[in-house]
Amino acid sequence: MQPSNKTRLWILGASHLAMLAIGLLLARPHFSSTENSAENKQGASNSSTTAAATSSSQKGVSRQGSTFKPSTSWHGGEYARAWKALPHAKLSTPDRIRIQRELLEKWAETDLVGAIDAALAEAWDNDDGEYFDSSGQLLSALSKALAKDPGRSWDMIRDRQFGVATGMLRHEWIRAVGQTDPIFLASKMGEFSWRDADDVSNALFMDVDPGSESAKALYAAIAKLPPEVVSAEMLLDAAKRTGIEVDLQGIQQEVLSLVGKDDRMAKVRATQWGWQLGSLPASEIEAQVAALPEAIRSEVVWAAFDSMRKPENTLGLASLLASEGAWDKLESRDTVRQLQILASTGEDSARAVADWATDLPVRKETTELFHRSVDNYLRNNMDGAREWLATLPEGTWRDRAYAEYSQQALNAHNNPEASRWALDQIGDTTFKSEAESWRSQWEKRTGWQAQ
Amino acid sequence: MTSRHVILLVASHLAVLGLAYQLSQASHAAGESDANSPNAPTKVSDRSSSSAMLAGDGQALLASFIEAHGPPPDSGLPLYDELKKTLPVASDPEAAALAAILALSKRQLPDKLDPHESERLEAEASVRILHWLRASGDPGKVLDQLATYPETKTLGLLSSLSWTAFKDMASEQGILKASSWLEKSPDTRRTFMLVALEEMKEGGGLSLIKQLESEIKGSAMAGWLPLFSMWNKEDKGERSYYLSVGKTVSFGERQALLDMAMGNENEHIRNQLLLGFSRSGKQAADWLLQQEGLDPKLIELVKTVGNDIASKDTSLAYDQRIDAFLEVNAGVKQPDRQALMNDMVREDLNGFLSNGRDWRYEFRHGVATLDEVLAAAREGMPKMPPAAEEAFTVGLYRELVEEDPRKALPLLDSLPEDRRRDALFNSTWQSMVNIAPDDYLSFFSSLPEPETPAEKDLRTKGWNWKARGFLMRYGDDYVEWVKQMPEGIDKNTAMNSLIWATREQNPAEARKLNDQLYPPKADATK
Repeated sequence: MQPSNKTRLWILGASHLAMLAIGLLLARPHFSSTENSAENKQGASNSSTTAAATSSSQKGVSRQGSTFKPSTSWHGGEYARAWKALPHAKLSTPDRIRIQRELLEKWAETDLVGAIDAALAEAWDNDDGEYFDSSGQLLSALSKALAKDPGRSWDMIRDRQFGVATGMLRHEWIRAVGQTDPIFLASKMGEFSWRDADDVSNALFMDVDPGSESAKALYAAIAKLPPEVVSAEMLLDAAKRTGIEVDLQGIQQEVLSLVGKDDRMAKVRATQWGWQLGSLPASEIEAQVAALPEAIRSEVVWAAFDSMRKPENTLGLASLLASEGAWDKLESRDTVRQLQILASTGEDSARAVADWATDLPVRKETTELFHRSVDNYLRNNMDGAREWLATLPEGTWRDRAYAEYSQQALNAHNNPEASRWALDQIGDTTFKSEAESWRSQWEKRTGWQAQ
Repeated sequence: MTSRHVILLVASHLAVLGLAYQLSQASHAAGESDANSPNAPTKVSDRSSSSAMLAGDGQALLASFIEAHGPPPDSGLPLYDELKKTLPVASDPEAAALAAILALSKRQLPDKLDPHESERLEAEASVRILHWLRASGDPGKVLDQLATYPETKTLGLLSSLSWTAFKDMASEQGILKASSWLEKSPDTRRTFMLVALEEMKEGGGLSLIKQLESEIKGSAMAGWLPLFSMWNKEDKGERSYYLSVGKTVSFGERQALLDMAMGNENEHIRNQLLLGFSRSGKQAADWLLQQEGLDPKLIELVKTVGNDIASKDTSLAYDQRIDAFLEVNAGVKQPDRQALMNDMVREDLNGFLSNGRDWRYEFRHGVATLDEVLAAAREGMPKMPPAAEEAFTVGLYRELVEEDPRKALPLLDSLPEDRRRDALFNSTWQSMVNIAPDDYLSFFSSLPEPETPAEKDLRTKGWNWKARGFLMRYGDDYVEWVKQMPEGIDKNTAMNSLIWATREQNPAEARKLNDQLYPPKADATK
């Protein structure tokens, strides 16, 4: 029997209402509650927004079929709601921060961006802190999640997804990934600003087990990067920190073959070679490096000088540097320091260093070195040195030696007469006025008046 | 029905279904936006599950979370404590312990490792070693054996176990029995001190102290114990063993302690015990100073410590505390009592805000009003004379301005206008360290136009003072942020500060940055 029009309309209306109800039901949020908390059950049963007959299915059955699981199966929405309720929970500050951190850590596992946003909406500073901190109280709770998918979280950071706050996340990211995946961190070295360079290099080696397979893999990953990103110095540092064994078999040939093909590696290997030569006399070192091109030769010599163990080799090596024309190395603090150490070992050494200095070529890079090389001898031999000074050939070094004598007389011995004697010996008038000005500075400082 | 009718029917039903679904979803998602934070960017995150109508649900969820994540255990090692309760003892505890150690040492570090794995392995190894210790009946032998494994050294096991398995074993045995094996290794000295102090604090008293002393007499332990110290959380300082021991002694046993100390030939131990005792309270310190025959050095120390404690004692009047402070810091020639009082008021205020209710957080989120915080702070602070009022008001303003500059501003209304301006302008550099740069920028709309030279200087001082910190924290992201600041004096100052702060670290990069921020004009006079 055909239904009447009225009946038809009723059926149509009812079926459309049913569609409405089903639609609302499908969009209901899925949530879960613990078995224990009565409050939760109550909360769950209030949560349905549908007008339709869904009360029978309000027992927290999520759409995925899990029932009554504790917060371990929450999704972003649950964490967000719990987070928003915190200001009303009247916790103490340390407890509140602890709970926030725990929420964030779990939240980040299912919804990293949501967790980051929530953390950044709070205060960024550490109210209680006395020391500078790089990311406040909360962000470090996200480090495990950041490290879990380093590629994805790196994209967020590289794209400045969080504006100025990205910087704080970057600190955490570097630290976290340095721990769990230093090779990935190394692969990104070229993408960091120079401002982050120290952070990165510390994080790379924080957890490394020197000499292990993973350390070797890390070194290999770093060595793959181009010289613009990883300099020879950085590579040397990496080799040390990863405990890479330095094999010097056939090193001369190796360095020769590297020059012009891989200059960075040539410098690295040359330096590592030089470090091993520190106990040899200069003549032997000279012999070993004779076959090398000049530029790389001075790298070996410098490394040897730097790692030198025996003071008796110091002067020989320093001379070698001079003959190599490695002026910037000679000018450096390390060189000065080594020579001063040598001079302080005894009267003979002091004299030897002073003698050696007079053979240096006169250049702007060697001037300071000259002064520092003679000062010990002059200071401790005010009388005997007068003869020595007289034996020096006329010229720059002789004048400077007299000037240094004057300085030592004044500053170490408070002896203006000796200073006057020395200053009067200076030949070059221009330099003499410079030396005189050093003395008048002393006179001003001490308030000394001419009698 | 025709097929056209069928199609229409199906379509209309589906349309209703779809519409209802969409509308319902949208209303759930809308509830997610955080009304409390003006800065939160639009969420691209999980939208499928919340609604503004479910506020009560949030509190319930939070309550269940808090219950599941109770307060941290004393050892600070939740995994270890949990496993201690749940891990069943193996039939051969020694073998199981060794296996656990090997598993821990074999863990491969980078490349897809679950970060929790390391911690879990370490916790398991610690618990299994505890089982082994208990089963063996001779912890000393276990310690010897552990020392023979190469893994022990590479993992630094003895050191980490000193907080966990060794500590628990020693506690279970009691320090008197445990001291014999605790002296075997430098790593277990820490355990000795921890457990000994614990038992003393629980009421061991002088008798325990004396027994322990005679127990270790002549041993290696007795040799280095006087020199041993550990970090103390409460005091925030390194505390030596005997100092800590002295502190556990109750006032009632003071005479017995004094007798014992004076009977000890070792001057250092004697003084440390008594000094520690003086730290247990004012009563103890006062009594001690009345005793005869004390080392003059000790007397000085006790007085200094006493004054130091008094200067921080919020139950005393500020004037008294300043007097005590000046006793200790006698070198100060022209003491500025007002400045000292201001410092103390600020410290007390910070203590109040950090140790009690979470006022700053609640103020930030609009749960506590300014009046509520002010009233609570007044009540929570020690009694303040009129001279302390300004420091209090300004101090509180400085704390709250970091949370909400606009809502905090009325606090300063109680000050005369020149003091109010002084507080505002000085807040630019003394307050708001490390807060979000956007929040810092918005603070400047509370600032009146500077009038005096001092105010003009302070107007820009803040940006300069924060330059290094912002650069360290945010790196190049701060540079980008500055570039996008609205034009004006703040931007000019910030840009300039970027250059000099960068130059401090790297002059070459500073030059590059300078060219970026201030591009050389095309028609250069070259």
